[in-house]
Amino acid sequence: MITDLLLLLLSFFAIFFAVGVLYSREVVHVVIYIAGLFIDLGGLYIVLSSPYVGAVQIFVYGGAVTVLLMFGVMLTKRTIKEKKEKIVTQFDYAVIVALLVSLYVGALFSYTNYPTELYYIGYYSLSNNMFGTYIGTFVLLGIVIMAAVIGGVYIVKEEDQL
Amino acid sequence: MNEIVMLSLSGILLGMGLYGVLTKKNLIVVIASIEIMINSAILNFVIFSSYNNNPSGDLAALFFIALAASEVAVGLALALSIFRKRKSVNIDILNLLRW
Repeated sequence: MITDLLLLLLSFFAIFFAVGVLYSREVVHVVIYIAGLFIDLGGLYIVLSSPYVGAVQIFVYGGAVTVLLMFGVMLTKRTIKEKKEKIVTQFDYAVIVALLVSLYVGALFSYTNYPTELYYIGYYSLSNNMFGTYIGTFVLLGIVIMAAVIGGVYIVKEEDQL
Repeated sequence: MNEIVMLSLSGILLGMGLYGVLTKKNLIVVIASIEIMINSAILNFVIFSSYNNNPSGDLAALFFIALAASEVAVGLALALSIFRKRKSVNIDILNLLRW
């Protein structure tokens, strides 16, 4: 009961923060709203009984990615205001197609039985899988991150410094 | 709570991120919208893992969090490089690869 209430509350706040990201004019407000969205999703993972993924989400997204985005805003600060754009061509057809698609998908969903019980994903099974079955993926991920860091440094370097 | 309610939240977030990617003009806001889409995908993995008692989904979520962090680092490096050359991050002026 309390889990259902928390899930509904966190989902509502997630949608609120996403709307704030889409409809705020200042870019700094976008970064603040998206930090709220990341931390909110971390809480959602914890309530969904996957606490380790929630902690990693709060550390990596709520901390590192938010600071990176804030640095990006500060270093490219010349175009700070978004102009309001009107993209309303063919709005009626879009509404009709969206309603039809959601009716079809909702009819499909109503024929399926979905599970309602949450299972706790413990640290033991998680680490057993990460360093047992999926150790190749883990090593490959390290190589990919190293390549991304070297590529990022290469891109932002001045051309006469190479 | 039924599983389908949480899956609909993931779908709603994916649609919002797609809207942001397609309509925004600032490159930083476009990267933020891409992050919303990646987060909705990770939410999908966590939901399926928790409702079906299978730790592989959580593991995939951890790997994708690390991948998305490196992706945003490369994206911001591109944004800085573009800003240094063009003095702006408006994506309408980026026509280098356009024919």
